Amino acid sequence: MSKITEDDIKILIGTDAEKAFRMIIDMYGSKLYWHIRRIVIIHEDADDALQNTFINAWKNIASFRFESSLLTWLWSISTNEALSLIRKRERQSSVSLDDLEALFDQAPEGNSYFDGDEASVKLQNAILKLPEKQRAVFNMKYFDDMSYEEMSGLTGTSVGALKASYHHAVKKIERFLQGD
Amino acid sequence: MKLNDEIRKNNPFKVPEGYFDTLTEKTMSAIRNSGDGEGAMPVTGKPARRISLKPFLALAAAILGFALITTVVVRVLTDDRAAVEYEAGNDLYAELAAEELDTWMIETELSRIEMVDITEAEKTISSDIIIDYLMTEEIDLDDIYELL
Repeated sequence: MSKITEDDIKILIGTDAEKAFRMIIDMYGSKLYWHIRRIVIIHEDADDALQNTFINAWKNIASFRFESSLLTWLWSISTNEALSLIRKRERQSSVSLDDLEALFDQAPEGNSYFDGDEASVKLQNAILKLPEKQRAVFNMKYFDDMSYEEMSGLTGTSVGALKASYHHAVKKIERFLQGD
Repeated sequence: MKLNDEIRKNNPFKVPEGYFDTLTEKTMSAIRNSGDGEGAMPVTGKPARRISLKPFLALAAAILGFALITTVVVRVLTDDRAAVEYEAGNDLYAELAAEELDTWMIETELSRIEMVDITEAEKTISSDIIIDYLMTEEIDLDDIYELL
C-alpha cells in the first residue's frame, strides 16, 4: 500500500472531508502530540492542546489553500495552542511552574506519565527555565533532530535567528546543569 | 554536565496505553461535539464554509469613517469661509502663545523624567537579557545585521 501524501489529502478533502481529516490525524497526530508534550510536559494538557489543534484545523480546513504544507500549518496551530495553554496555566497558578515538581504538583495525573532518570529530570528542569519560544526551538533541534531549514519552514523564523536561539539555549542549559 | 546523545535518546515522557490507537476516533468525536454544531460534521462530508462578516463590517466602518471625515472637513471649511476677519495681530499673538505653551510643556515633562546613567544601565543589562528579548520579540537577526 503506497504511503498517503498531502497531495492525496488535498484531492480527497473536496469530496470526503471526514475521510481526509482522519488521514491527517493518522499522519500527523503523533508528531504533533510529542511537539506539544515537550512544551507543556503534562500528558492531559498535551491531549487537550492536541484536540484543540485539530478542532481549529477542521473549522478552517475549507479555507486552507495548500500553499504551505499541511504540517507547517498544523505545526503553527499546535505551537500556539501549547503556548496558550502554558500562559493560561501560569495565570491560574499561584506558584511558579518552572520546574517539574511544581508542574506535577498541580496536575491531576501527577508524575504518572513521566519516567525519567535524574539526568532527564535535570534536563527538563533546565529546559523549563527557557523562554517559551526558545524552549520550542530547543526541543525541535535537540529531540526531533530537525534541520534549521526545516525549523525555519515550520516556524517562519530565519535560519540565523534559529541558530542563535538554539546555541544560546544550549549554553543556558549547560550552565544550569553545571550549577546543580 | 554536557548535553549528549545519551540524554537525548531517553524519552522520559510516557502516554496511557493505547493512546495513539484511539487518537483518531477520539479526535473526530471531539470535532463532532465541539461548540453548538459549529464544528459539526456536515452531512455531505464537506466541512461547512464559514462566511466571514469581517470584510462587510470593515467596509461599513470605512464608509462611516469617510462620511464622518467629510462632514467635519465640510464644516471646517464652511466656518473658515464665514469666519470673522481676524486682525493680523491676534493671529500672531495666538501663534506665539502656542509656541510658548509647547516649550513650557516640554520643559515640564523633561524635568519630571529621571535621566538614566547609560553606563550604569549598560553594566546591568547582560547579553543574556538582550538575546532573550530579541528571541521573545522575534526580532529578525538579519534586520540587525543589515544595520551593522
